[in-house]
Amino acid sequence: MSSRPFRFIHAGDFHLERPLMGVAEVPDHLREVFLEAPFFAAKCVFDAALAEDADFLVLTGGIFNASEMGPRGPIFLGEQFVRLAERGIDVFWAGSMIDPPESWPAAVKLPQNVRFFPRGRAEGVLVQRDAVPLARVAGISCEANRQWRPDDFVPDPAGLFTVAVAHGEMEPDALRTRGINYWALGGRHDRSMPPSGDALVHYCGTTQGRCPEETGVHGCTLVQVDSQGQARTSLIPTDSVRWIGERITLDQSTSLDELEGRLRERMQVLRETMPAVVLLISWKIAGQGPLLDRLRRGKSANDLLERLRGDFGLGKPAAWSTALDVEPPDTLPPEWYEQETIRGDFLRAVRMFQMNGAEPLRLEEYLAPCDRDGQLAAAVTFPSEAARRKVLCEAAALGADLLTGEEPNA
Amino acid sequence: MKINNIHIEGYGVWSDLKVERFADSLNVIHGPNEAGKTTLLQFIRSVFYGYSPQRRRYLPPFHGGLPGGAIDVASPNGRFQIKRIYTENNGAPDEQLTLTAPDGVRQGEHFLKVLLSNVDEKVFNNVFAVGLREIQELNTLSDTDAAEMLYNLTVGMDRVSLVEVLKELEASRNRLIDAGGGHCLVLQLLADRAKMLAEIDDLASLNNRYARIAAEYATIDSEVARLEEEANRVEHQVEVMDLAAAVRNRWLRRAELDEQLDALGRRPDMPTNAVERLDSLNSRIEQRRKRMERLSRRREELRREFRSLKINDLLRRQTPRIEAVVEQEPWIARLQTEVGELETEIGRLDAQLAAEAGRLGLSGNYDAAIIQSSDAIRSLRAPAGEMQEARNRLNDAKRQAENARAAAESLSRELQSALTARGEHDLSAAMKRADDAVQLVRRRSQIDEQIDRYNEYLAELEERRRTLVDRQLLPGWLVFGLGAFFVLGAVLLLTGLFMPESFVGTTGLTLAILGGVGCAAAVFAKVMLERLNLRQLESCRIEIEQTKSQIAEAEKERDSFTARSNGDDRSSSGLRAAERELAALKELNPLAARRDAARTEAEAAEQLVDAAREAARATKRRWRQALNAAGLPDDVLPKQLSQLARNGGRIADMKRRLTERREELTCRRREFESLGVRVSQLAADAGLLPGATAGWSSTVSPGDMTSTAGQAGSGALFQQTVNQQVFNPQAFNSQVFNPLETLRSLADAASRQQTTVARREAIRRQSRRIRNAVAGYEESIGRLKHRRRQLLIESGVKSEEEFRRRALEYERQVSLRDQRDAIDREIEAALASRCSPEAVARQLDDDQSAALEQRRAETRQRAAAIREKLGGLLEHRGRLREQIDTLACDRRLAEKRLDLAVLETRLRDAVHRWRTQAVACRVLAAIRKTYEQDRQPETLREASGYLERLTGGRYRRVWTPLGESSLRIDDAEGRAMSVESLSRGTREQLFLALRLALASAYARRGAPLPLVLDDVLVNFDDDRAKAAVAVLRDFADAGHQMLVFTCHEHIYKLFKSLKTAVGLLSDNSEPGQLITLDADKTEVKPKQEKRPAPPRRKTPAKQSKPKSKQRSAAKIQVVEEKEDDESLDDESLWDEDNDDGYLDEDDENDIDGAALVAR
Repeated sequence: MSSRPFRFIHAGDFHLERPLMGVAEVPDHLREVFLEAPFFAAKCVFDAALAEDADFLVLTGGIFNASEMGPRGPIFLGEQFVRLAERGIDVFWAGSMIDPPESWPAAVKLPQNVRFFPRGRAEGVLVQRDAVPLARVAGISCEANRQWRPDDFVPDPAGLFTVAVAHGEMEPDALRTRGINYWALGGRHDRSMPPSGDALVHYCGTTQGRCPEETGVHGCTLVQVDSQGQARTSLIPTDSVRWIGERITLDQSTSLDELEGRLRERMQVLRETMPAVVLLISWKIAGQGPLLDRLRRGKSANDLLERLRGDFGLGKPAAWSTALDVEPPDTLPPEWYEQETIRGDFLRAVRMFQMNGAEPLRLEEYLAPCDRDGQLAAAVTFPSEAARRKVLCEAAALGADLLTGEEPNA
Repeated sequence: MKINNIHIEGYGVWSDLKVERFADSLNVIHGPNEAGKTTLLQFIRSVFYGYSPQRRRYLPPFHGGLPGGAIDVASPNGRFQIKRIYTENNGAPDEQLTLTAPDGVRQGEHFLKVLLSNVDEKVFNNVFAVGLREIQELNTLSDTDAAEMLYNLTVGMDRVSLVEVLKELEASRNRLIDAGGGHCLVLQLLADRAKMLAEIDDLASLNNRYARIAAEYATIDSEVARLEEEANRVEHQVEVMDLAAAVRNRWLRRAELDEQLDALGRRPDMPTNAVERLDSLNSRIEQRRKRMERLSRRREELRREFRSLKINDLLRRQTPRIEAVVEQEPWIARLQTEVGELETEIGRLDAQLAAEAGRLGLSGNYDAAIIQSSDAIRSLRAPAGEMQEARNRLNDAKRQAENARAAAESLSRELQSALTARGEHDLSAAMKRADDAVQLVRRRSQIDEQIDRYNEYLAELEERRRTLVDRQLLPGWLVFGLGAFFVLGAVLLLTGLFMPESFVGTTGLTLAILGGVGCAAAVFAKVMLERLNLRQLESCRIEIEQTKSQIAEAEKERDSFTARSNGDDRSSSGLRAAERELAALKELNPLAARRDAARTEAEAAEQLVDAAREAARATKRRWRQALNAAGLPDDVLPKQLSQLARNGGRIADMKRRLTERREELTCRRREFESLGVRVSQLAADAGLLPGATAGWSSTVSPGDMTSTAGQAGSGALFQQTVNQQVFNPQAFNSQVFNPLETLRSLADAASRQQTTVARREAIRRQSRRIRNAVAGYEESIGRLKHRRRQLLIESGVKSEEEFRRRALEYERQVSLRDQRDAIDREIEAALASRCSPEAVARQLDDDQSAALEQRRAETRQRAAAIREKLGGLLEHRGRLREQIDTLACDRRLAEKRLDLAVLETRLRDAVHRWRTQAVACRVLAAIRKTYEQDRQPETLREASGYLERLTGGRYRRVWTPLGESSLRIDDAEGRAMSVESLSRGTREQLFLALRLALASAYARRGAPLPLVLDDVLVNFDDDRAKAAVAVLRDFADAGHQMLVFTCHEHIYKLFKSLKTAVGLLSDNSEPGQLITLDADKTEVKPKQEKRPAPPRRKTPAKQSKPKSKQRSAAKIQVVEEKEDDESLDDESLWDEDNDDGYLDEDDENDIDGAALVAR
């Protein structure tokens, strides 16, 4: 069916209540950035809707948590909605568990252009321009005891381009045969588009990465639908702060100067590649060799981190190195395990724990009796087997370092 | 691993020291103080673990030699020589380590670790290669530290201390989470987190506050809207009342005007501006009448002027032709100018061309086009070149001929002068004469020499003849010999003949024959000799005769030469003079040959000159032919060819331009002449110049005209002349006829004629227009009168007076209506759409001014009250808005959440670190327990056995309480006591026992390294020493190699009495010693002659020591000497340990400490 082409913005997971996190220290000159980055990113979404002359805006939940937010969030959103209303741009909002329709404060009146989808049932809206139907937008907000289902949505009976709006992950195969043209989904902070046949299933991701794990570019999605009903998506970056995870691998011959040179060179490349955003870079040094041992045992790593921060982290925009972690070696030298030394005994004992996951470590013995049932009790329990393996791996490296007995180079 | 041999090439005081044949068990080396035992110990450490900075003080060697050395070892992997040489690489210390098998195969450095069983240096120094310092080191520590070190030494097999590691880890872990429940980082972070969460909860109430404020804001907002609406309504009422009061007077006036208009009644409308229209019509009729009269008078004046203007018809008919010719006036003028310019340029070009041709040497007629032609010039180049070349060849030939002639003449003069100097004129004749003279003198000299030779030969022949004469008689011996031979032969013959068998038996006949032959031979020989002598004599005589005759012939010939020479000098000097003369003449031969050659060359050159001249003539002929062919004069020279090539184009161009200008001049003149004829004909046709063409002479050129005109001076004078020619036709016959001026005159006449005609036509047109205008005015006056009548009819009157009266009445009615409309507009403006007129009318209809004012005041008060209330609400709403804005900008919650996130990250990191450290502690604690329970008792049990034997059973057990870092000793009665309570000697026995046990433990774990003990028994008394010697022997017999260094002879003797391998270290000042360890004796073999020991110099360490430290050392020596007397068994032995004269850092530190004590 041939219809008028249109375009809309798909965004979600603003999480205005969450500042940037995941670092052990926030430098003073970046504190403002850490606080304002979510709002800046959200404002960029509305700016993009105006700049792209979008026909409507689709919000896929996770916008803000009213219970943790305070009034700043709704006030800010109300102002932005009014901006879109002045240009006649509709907003369709499918709430998540943190932003259900009831969470919107009654004191703030939503503009007429904002349509908050109800919980528990999908509701469709016909979007028109100049009295000509463009598309049907159907959405549903999350309900505590009920996950939305693909069959909550039905395609437009007249064959109009249908957009389904919801928060939460769903198997792409389940969405394949519903006849929905575009599944605008939220709940994933990483932008993704799982393959699902003719239907276009798209998680727009969060507008601003909030922790070191959320690396890369974040933003909203511009969806352009042509007259043949074919949708094409493109990313519009909205993040003002970008998390970068860099991993440098050393070899036996790498020197400290060479490592610093490589770090600086990589920093230059990142700065030139992304000149307009604040970069929060987490370095991980891996590999093998004496330099790795030196970095792990001494304070060279801290000195190196301070030099990187001093040289690159104070500019505008800053390229701040959040951490420089030295990864424990994946494998220690096999001959160490064979030696009749304390180190050999230690490594063999650790390996026994690694191979036998059920062997209790009994770390509670290192807690005071009064703390074993208190708030420190969680410290002795491993949240997962992976966490236990990681701790054992690092403990092996720590013990090997201490028992090797070489003086760490400052 | 066991040590077999040690070879110190250079280390400390030792140079080229060989200690060989170490036994696999116990080896004792005795040497007095400063013999170098500690140096030997340090050397072993250095070879095994390198030259550490502390051991580098033993380098360079005191007595020279290559720094370093080698140790031969035997291990389960085979025998190897470990050699470590110290070097310096660009000032940086460096080492060369080699591990060589007996077959020469080398192993890598890593193999040394295998040989040393991966025992590192720290363990080796503490357990396997210990000196008194290491043994006594424990005594310098505090009790607790000493105990812990013992504990570590006991349980720590690695170079790191398990206890230290555990303590460090536990301290770090407790800093994160204190196992005792005390203050720690995680608890602090948790407390901060709880506090921060509480603050966040408090800040979460902002939402409620905001909701309350927002609700209140909405209520007030609606109330404000309602009040604003009411206030607007009341204020509108007030405004209407105000407006009614304001327009009340106008309102009444408008009513009055309405009454007046009603009184006037309904009147028919007059046409708009009826009176003005009537007045205007009357005025326009009068104006047109006056204009018509003025035009009639003007027409009459024109008619009179027309009659006064006369026309020349002949000239008028020729006017188009004149105008056509006049249009060509610029052309004629340009032709005239161009002709003059062309003539001037032609003259200039003629002069330039003549000058250029003269400069190039061109005379006569020549073809400039050919000069310009590059082909022509190019065709001339070849003959010109040939001619130039022929001329050059001719000149060269002439020059060569001249040179040859000059050379020949010069040589002739030189030769002639030489001949003249010798009085000769002809060289050949002179040479012939000289040669003859030389030959003559030489021949005569030869004859003299021949005569002399003949004479000498004659003398010899005479002497020979005399000899031969003498030989005619044979010498006696020969005669005797021949006679004897004859006699013998005769005897034999006779004997054989007569007594053939008497003496010789059967050989008698033979002998007879031989005798006969002999006799015959003797006779024959004598005869032959006499004949020979005779023949020789005769021959000699003949030769004498011949010689004499030859002498005579020679003398005759000499005489003939003498006669021919006419008494010239026949001596050798004469011959030499003749030869010199001949040689001098011969020297002139080359000169004569050169002269002849020069003459020949001159003749050849002359021939060449003739040939070159002929060739030059031929080339000149060809050059002229080429010139003729090129169209150039014959007198053009080749050297002018280049100028022609360069300037020919210019000349040709000039000539071409001259030709063009001349052609152009001819053309211009022709054009000018044709125009002159045409002008002359035109003047005649116009009747101004009958037969004017006869006056036009072709002999007068336009240039003459121009010059004449130019000479005439100003244009006015020239114009005057032309004007005279125009008005005086005779002037056209003069020789100064100028067609241009004539044409101008014609043009002026035609122009004037045209002006007259135009004026007449203008007058005619103007008269016609005036007539039409008069007719128009008459018609207009009629139309205006008709419109005046129509106006009166429209107004319904019959006369103009009635019309004017009716107009006055109508004007009053209009005035009243206008006044009413103005008031109406004022009222409308006063209302200004703020209220409707009906509303005002309702207010004014009551016509109660007092009531209106009262109602106004009441309504105004009511409006004020509403505004006041509204203001309060607005103010309250503003406060609420401000609070909302404040809440909107409130980032405390976000900041707290950011701080909380940072805190939780730190908390997570701390917990993670605690887990890692706790796991490490957990594992290390288990290992420690294993060591304490399993391994330590084994070592301590063995140490207890050694201690019991060392102490003669006085102390039986060494042990450590579980979980404590301390040692306990049990005596024979089972009483436990601490280490600190033991005497020094007993403590050292304990430490020795511990080291023996550790070495044994290492050996059991696969590290059987040799045990090197350097004077560790010095503090033992005789009994202890005997016990220790026995223990060490048994320990060695158990398979442990031991190297025991001692400075005490009694200990040495104790060991020697046990048949152990012993060796003696004597004077270390002798480089090159060989010490062979033997169970029975020790041989010390100097390998080289003893050389005088070099003056002892300070070691680098000592050299670098500050003077103050040296002074301190001196003081210490005094103090220590005193102490030697008091406690000989204590520090004195310690000092003796440093018997090699070197001080290490520990020594210096000890010395410094001792110095402080001494002060």
